[in-house]
Amino acid sequence: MLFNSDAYLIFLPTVVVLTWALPARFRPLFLLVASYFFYAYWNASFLLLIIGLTAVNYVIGLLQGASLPRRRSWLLLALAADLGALAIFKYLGLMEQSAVRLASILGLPADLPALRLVLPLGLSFFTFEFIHYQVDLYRGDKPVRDPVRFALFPAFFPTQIAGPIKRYQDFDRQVASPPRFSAVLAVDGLQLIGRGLFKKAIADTLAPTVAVVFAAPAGAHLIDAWVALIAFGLQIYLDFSGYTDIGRGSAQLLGYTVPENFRSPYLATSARDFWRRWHMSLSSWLRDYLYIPLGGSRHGATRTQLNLMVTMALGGLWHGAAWHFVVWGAGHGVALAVNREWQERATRGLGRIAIPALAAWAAIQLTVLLLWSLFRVASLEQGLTLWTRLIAGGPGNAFVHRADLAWVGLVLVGLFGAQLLLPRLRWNIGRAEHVLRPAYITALVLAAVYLATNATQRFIYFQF
Amino acid sequence: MERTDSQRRAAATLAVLVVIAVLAQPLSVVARERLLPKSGAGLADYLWRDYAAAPRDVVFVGDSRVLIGTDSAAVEAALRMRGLSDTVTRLAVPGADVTIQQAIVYRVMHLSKKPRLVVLSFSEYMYTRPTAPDPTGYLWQLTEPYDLGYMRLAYDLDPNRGRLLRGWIAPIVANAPVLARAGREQASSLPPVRWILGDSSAPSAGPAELQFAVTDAPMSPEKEVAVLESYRQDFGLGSFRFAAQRLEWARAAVHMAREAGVDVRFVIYPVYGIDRINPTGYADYLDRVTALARELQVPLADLHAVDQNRDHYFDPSHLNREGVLALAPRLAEVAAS
Repeated sequence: MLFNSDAYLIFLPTVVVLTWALPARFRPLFLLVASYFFYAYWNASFLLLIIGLTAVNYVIGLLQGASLPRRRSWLLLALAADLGALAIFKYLGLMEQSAVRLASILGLPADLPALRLVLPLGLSFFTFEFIHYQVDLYRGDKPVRDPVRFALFPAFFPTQIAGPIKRYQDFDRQVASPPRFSAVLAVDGLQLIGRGLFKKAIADTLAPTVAVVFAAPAGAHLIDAWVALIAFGLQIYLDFSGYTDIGRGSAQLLGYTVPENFRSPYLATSARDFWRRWHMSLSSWLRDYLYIPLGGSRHGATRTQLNLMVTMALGGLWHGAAWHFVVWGAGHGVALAVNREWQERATRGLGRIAIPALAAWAAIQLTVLLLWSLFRVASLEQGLTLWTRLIAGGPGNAFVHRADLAWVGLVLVGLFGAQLLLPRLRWNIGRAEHVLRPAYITALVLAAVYLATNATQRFIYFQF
Repeated sequence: MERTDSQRRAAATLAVLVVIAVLAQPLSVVARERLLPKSGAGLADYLWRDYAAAPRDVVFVGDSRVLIGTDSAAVEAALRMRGLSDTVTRLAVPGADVTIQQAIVYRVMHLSKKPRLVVLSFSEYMYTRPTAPDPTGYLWQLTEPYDLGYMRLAYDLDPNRGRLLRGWIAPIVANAPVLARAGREQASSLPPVRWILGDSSAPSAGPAELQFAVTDAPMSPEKEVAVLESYRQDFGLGSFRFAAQRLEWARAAVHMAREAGVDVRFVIYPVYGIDRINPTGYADYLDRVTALARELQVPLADLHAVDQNRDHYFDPSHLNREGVLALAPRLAEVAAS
């Protein structure tokens, strides 16, 4: 079920009303049933997968808690189950394609049956939540004994399909002591939903400009390529942060808070700063469950930089089973390594060069933008073609019309204007809140409806 | 526990938002009704309201071929030449399938003033198995005034029942895109017909509100190729397999009209080349429809090949103004029979 669909518009209020109407002790079970319905609305058969993985992780979690000496074995078993499911549904196709390609390079016969598995929605997200759960149990945390409470952790519909990636300690604490209805939280939630719908509608208006160039980058000229790339940078931010806003807002209507995922990432002035603002729940997961276990910064500068690159390359692979995602992630790894080296030198007083904040901002944002091209393309070859167009231009078909160019410019200015100015404005609406906030939320929703295109796009992060 | 000032303000804000959400439902209906005459959005709704306000004697029920190909004024004039003073209209929407026809017939038969004759039109794509009916939008638009019998019928007919129910439970769900489209059309000064055929600012016969899609433009070779290809691929005529179970809906529509004491005719509107995409499939379709007409004892006027003048078509599926005017006496003949 899409957050911006008419089905969700009925589903959410129904679930919210019934949740608060029920006695507190029944709410987790009701939310679990509602969350499974939400999932089954897309594909009921894959519900078995989420239930199966939940059962496996629940049982192994209990075993980890009960058997200290065998804890490591249980952890490995859980990781094998979780990563195995991810590997089968997400990466088998890539492995097969890579094997065939390698065989053809080596001149070996390769006649493998083509694999076309559908990726269950949200698998990447709830797999990461399970891994975090098992690793934290291994590190000494207590397992969740109540099966309903445990099952609700990955299934919770506001975060089920595309995060934010939750931490079970925070979430289970809220489920264990059922929240009381809070009008403050609910109004904030509605505002988040309105904002998310508005962002999503704008993202969808940018989709055709992006698609027309990325479908055939060889035919793009210089301006086409840059406009499409900037449009994609805006689209993916508005799409994903819009999704997260709706998810967080929905959770707040049910009395739950889930982690923030974005904090104006395009205002970042370094690679590190960017990843503290972009998909924050993923970057903190990668730090805690990949970078630190790999050794983090504990084994010297070279190893630290290698760890950064490996972590980010795997982070790229998590986004999609294709080499261009790996290169995208590795590119960010290199940016983080350079960033770290720069900071180290500054700390040690070695050759520090002062960079104006504006230049630092421009450098990292240009890097992020160029790497986005590798995220959006269908293959590395297509990415290289686009890069040549970005640098040297091309014959040019002028895919992008002047009106599209103006719209991309307007969205760009609007986004930066909103992110730079809004936090500086001191909202002091006091007694007028009950008039101004509903007006603001209603205006956001009306604008979203007005902008909504006929071909509403799926959220980009659904594919991961 | 004492409520803080911020909680009280939030509660008031929430109450206002709930009131807005509730009021938005009827307000969206009112807004849609006001905007309909100025917009192509909500076509079925508009035509149905127009008809319900002033029921006619002869109603042509069908798809865009009927919508565009039936010039009510010209047919009425041709009937007058035959000494008949019947009023004529069409209740037709682009892409209509047989379920929509049944729904329209139900609504027409449940008005206090019944027509003298209902003419049901057949189009080959309505019976092509690879294409599945998607009637929710039109079924929903025909809902008002509320009629439990109609709602039950629509619910039975619609393969997307959940969507239809959502439109009924929260009208803003269905009204919002219609209103947004109407707003965009007005903002960009698009003529309301734009979304039906892509281009037409030419004047047409009939009341201004019903000038939907008749155009003077002749058929361009590119349009001919593109539309025929679309019928071959999108409508599945290339791999035509007759969906016999859909005849049940046509049977039901005929029975419904007869039970109300209204006479029925079948008609097939002219096409240019569509019948040659898959001649075997098209012949099968004609045989089946002819058999149905014989079974129900409903006269069938097969006009699909009656006009093969290329200059009378806007595209292979739709007549232009010249073609529409040329067809009017034939339709009058059907209405008078």
